[in-house]
Amino acid sequence: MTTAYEAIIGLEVHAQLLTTSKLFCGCSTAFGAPPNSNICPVCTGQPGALPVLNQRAVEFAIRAGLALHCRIAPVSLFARKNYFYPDLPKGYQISQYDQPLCLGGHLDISCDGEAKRITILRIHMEEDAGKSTHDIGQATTSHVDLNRACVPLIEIVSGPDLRSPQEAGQYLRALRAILMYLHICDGNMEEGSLRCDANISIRPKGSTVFGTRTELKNLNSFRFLERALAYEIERQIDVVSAGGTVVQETLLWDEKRGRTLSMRSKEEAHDYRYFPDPDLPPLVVDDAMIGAIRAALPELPEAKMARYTGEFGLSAYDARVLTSEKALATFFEHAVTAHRAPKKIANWITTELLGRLNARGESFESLRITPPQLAGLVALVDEGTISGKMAKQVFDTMYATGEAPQAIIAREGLSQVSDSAALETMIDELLATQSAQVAAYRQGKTNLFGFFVGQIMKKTAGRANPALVNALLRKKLEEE
Amino acid sequence: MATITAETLQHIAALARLGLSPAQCAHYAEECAHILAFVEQLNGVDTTGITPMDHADHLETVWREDRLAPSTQADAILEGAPEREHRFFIVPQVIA
Ligand SMILES: [Zn+2]
Repeated sequence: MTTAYEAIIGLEVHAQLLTTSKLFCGCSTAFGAPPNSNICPVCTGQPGALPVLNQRAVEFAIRAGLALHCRIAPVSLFARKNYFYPDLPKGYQISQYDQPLCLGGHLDISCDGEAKRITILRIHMEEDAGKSTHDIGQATTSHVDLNRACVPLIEIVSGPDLRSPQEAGQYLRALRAILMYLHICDGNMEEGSLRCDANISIRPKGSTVFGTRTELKNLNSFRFLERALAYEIERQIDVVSAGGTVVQETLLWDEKRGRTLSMRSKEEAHDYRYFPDPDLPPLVVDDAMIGAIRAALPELPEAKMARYTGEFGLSAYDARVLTSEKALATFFEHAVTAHRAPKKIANWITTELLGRLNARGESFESLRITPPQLAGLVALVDEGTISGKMAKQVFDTMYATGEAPQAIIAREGLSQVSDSAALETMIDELLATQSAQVAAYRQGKTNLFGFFVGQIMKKTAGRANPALVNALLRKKLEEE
Repeated sequence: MATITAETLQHIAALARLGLSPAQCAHYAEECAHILAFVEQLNGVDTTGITPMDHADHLETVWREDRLAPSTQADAILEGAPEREHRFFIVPQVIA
């Protein structure tokens, strides 16, 4: 990016709430059902059908609001956002407009090791639209499936506080982690449970005026988000550098071609003519309800990080890595419960475990090692049953097969020789056959110590307890 | 009295997917002007100290428990579609 400009980015993130039924009817929200099987008069907009609000959806939205430090509005309103599209059967989407449920929060992210606070302008509730497919069969028709219509969403709108594609990526990662910690969204971007649009403009560095912004849609993976933003920043800089002006428009990211495409939508497409939905009374939430939700909030990444660095003495880096995903933090905590060696366990997870997952491009969900197994491995090293080097070998097998470390050690005969009588005999035999080296050592060539250790390790195929070998050898070599 | 131009009226009609003839356009422009005049009259009322209404009646939130009430009418709804293929509704192509 040309350094003369800075990018101003704000994200609108749609998260599908993990309710059983839809926002305003009892139809199932399950993904992958046969097309148009989870539909009823309410979610297909049949005349006379009336929406009734799902209480859990509201509780989930409040959970998100509290976790993101928002103010929860005691009274908020549902409004109709009017537009025509085949996957919107009512001709309007029920959303919230000028009186949303949650207002004015923030999310702290870490970028290049520095903390940065990103404003959350608002969180509002809305229903999802159905799904149109344009590529089945004839090119002149589209297929519409309304299973997703009326599924509950929250839209989380950030302030224009993000300054680079990387920061935007960090924000989205942190937000996704929190939603998953809260058990209100599964965070699955491929299935569309989490979707992201971006507003983006550029301005000369040092300027405080905002440039004309464009809206980028279809940024449905971290990779798409960062690539599309990088592309759009370059494009806007090129336009401005060539003396042109950026046109306010909606752009679609085309991942295949690696470029943004104008949606060429008519001006009037954005004239939504919002008005309060007469079918839905104001949404009133009282302090008791908010208090109960607050009391039941799980421990969030920020608090966990503080606990890991404080109580467990982990480095800030390890704490951040381990709390970046709920599944990872849970794994770590379960392992520490089984064997209280948090620093060692953290180290195994951040280096060996995540290292292998990343190198092979595998997901944490596909992991075969269980927390008690990893704890067991660390305990075996701590007890001296196996050496650290052997542990890595055992870990490889655990990673591949999901077997318990004890079983692997028994089968492969890996346990460390910690029998001091047996080692002592072995050392006596060695020293008897190496009298020249022993004499040299005793005359001051102490760097031969490693040679003796090596011989014992060779004899035991690396299974001798190194600390014990060292102690015994030193005693034998120095006693006469 | 408030007026509304033919252009504004056509714009609103287009948003509502209504096709109006010039004669209808003139007719509705006049009707809309009457509605706007009434709103202007309301705007003149002193509402100091009156809480704005959010809704036409005095209901508060009506809650529904998050429980499945599987629809028995999915097939009937599908059958009502002018065109369908398997279980999909078929509509004219929306994106080129
Ligand atoms: Zn329904």
